[in-house]
Amino acid sequence: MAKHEKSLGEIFSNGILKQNPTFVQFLGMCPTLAVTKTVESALGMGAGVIFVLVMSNLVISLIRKYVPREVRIPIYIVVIASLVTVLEMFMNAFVPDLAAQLGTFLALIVVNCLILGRAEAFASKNGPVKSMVDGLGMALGFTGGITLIALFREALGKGSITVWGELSFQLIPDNFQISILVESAGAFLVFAILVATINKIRFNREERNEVA
Amino acid sequence: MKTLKLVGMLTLIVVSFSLLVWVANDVTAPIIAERKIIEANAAKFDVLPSLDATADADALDKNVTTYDLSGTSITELYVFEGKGYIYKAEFGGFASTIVYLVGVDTNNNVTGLKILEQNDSPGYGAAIGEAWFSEQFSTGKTAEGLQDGEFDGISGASATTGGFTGSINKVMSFHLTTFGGVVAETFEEKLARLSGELFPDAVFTDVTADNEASNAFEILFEAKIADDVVGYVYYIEAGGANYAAPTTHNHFLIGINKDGEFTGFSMIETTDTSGIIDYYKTTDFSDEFVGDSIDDLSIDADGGATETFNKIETAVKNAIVYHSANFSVITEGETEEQKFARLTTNIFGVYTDLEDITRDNPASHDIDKIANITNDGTYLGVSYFVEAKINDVVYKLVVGINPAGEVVGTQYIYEEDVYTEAEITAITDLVLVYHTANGLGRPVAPVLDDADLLLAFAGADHFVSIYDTLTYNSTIYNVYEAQDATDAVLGYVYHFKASGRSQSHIEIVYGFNILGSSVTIGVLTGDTESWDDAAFDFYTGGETWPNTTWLDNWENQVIDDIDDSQIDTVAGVTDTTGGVKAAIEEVIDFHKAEIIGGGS
Repeated sequence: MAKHEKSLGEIFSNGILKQNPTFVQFLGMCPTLAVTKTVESALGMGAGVIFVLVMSNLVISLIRKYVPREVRIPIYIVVIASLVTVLEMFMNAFVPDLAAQLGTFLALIVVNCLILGRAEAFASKNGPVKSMVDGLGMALGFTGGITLIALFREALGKGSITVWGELSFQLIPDNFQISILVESAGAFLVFAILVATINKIRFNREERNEVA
Repeated sequence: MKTLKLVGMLTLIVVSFSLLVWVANDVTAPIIAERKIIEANAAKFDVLPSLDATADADALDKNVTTYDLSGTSITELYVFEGKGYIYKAEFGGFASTIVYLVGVDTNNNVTGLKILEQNDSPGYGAAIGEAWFSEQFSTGKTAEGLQDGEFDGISGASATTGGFTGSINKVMSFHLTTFGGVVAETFEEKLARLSGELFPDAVFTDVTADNEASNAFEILFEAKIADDVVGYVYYIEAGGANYAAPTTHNHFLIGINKDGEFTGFSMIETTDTSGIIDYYKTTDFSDEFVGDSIDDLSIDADGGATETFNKIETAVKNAIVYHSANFSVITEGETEEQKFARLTTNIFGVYTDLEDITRDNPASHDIDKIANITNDGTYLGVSYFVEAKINDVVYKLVVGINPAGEVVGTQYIYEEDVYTEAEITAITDLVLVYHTANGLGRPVAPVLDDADLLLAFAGADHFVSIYDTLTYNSTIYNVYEAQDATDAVLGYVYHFKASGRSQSHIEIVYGFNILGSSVTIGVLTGDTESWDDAAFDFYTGGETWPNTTWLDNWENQVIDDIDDSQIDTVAGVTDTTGGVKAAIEEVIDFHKAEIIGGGS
């Protein structure tokens, strides 16, 4: 391949910005819409995704040379599902409070196509260190994306932000909240507006690069 | 060969990851299981709040397995004698098995629900784990209601809601068929059942309305067997001992038969301190009543619960007084005094002192007797024995007037008399006119500033009015204890009135110490009394009232040595000195009788 080898820094920032899974790749749309009602649940989902994606990328990268092409997808699924299950067990046993907070999101990570997507697109072709960095970058990008959506939905829809019952800011008085934003439809609205805004910025920049 | 490799690799991966999961499970399962038991046990207190960690410790872990739970979705059942039942049940939600606890008390009221495990979709089925869902079961839900699905479901989660509805229906059906026999009685049913224990086989009639309003009972039942009255059941309210909650009450029944003997005692409901009140719910306490004559009741307090006991005993004695006044056969042939006393009781309830003040007041053609009624130092009012002639008809009535000057009740002197409302009003109006004109009834004692009281007792730190505990005397406005900084009683100060010349009343304060000596006299009003006419030079050395040495006769004297006959009124100012002297004499007599004689 004539392409130059990407540095670790590039791989990392790739996931966070250029190939942001939420706003650019549109991966993991189900949790993006379902768990962005509150910042707290978005952060919880993000934390789970960070762990699982880093670990699954690592494992898959390690076994990539032994995995026959024909059965790679079932094998990735087995790996991811096992990791999520193990994670869930350990969290239930040792950090039950956090597990109770994230409980339902943890199980949902199995079906997050971002995980399978990165296994297929990156970890199966790259070494363990790069794969982990890619996983971390992508997971952080995903976390940032859904947290941003949640931030808008909770702040404008509920008028306040509450994180683990401690940090709480009343931003908008009670009678001026846009309550549709906390409904399911609100997720689509906020998501659409954010994607449109980000695309506008991206395309402007690309045009400028082409001119230059 | 290629296929074999694929199958082999896939198998290897699946087996090795299964192994990983198995190891992880092996490590974590016991920890998780232990935590779930702790959580479930803690949740039991939430779903059945009446549980007690010590008293119910045994039943808390005891899964009762003697019932057939098949098809009920119940996995565990805990029975708490006299408190209720806790069911652990599970059902399939949308994405997970949902486990919950639900508590039901012995009256089929649902006491709480808690979701122990669920992994349904966030934002949808998972809402079953949110507080609002569980909290709706904490109050106001019955087993029958839940059986009929009377609760709020979760919008957008019909599978989860449906699963729960089906499960709770089966749990409640099981509960109602298995334990539903113990249904709570209504208040009326409880009264009827316990009354039946006091008078077996009797038929009860509520005769509260037919009897004069009285503080002796809340409800009164007449017990009849085959048209013969066999006795009465009193439903009585008494205070309790719970100092933290002054509104504490005990409600109980006592039965008194036609021979004037108790048939028993039944506690109906109590808000008294649990533990303290328990003894009074037992047959041990009830048995103390059985067979006792109402004239000779002998009941004992349980150790440590004397306050409660005293409240109950006083309430029972009120009922005894009412009963003997109204239902005993001895009311025939009583004297006028006895009749007056009995009818006064019907108006004021139980009292300790009937002070006949007829002679202290102007004679009236219409009023035969007047009495101040006091119960243990608490002034209840004035009772009048009236034989009024209005339009040539003689009306006979006992009329009670409270300290506020209001008619609190009337009683016919002859039971066969029946007067119209207008006639009774005419009689009570007549009494009220007399009552007001003669200043009867105990007024609210005015309270003086310490500065005024110090004129009579200079050494005191502060003063506390004690007049309410003493007999009322129309001369005396108020009586205070003079206390030092540690609340120890140093003496007494009287605030009283004397008639003068220029003013109708001279207000005076007069102190006595606890050693039986008077202290000083201070004159608060009436300083315009003319003293200039004082004919004895003895007192006229430039003296003006009230700064006269005449008053010194009563100051700093041993009370017993004060000989009023040796102190003369002063010629020329006899109105003033005569009025003051009479009032001081009255106060000294009062002090001797009430304070010194009272053994204080």
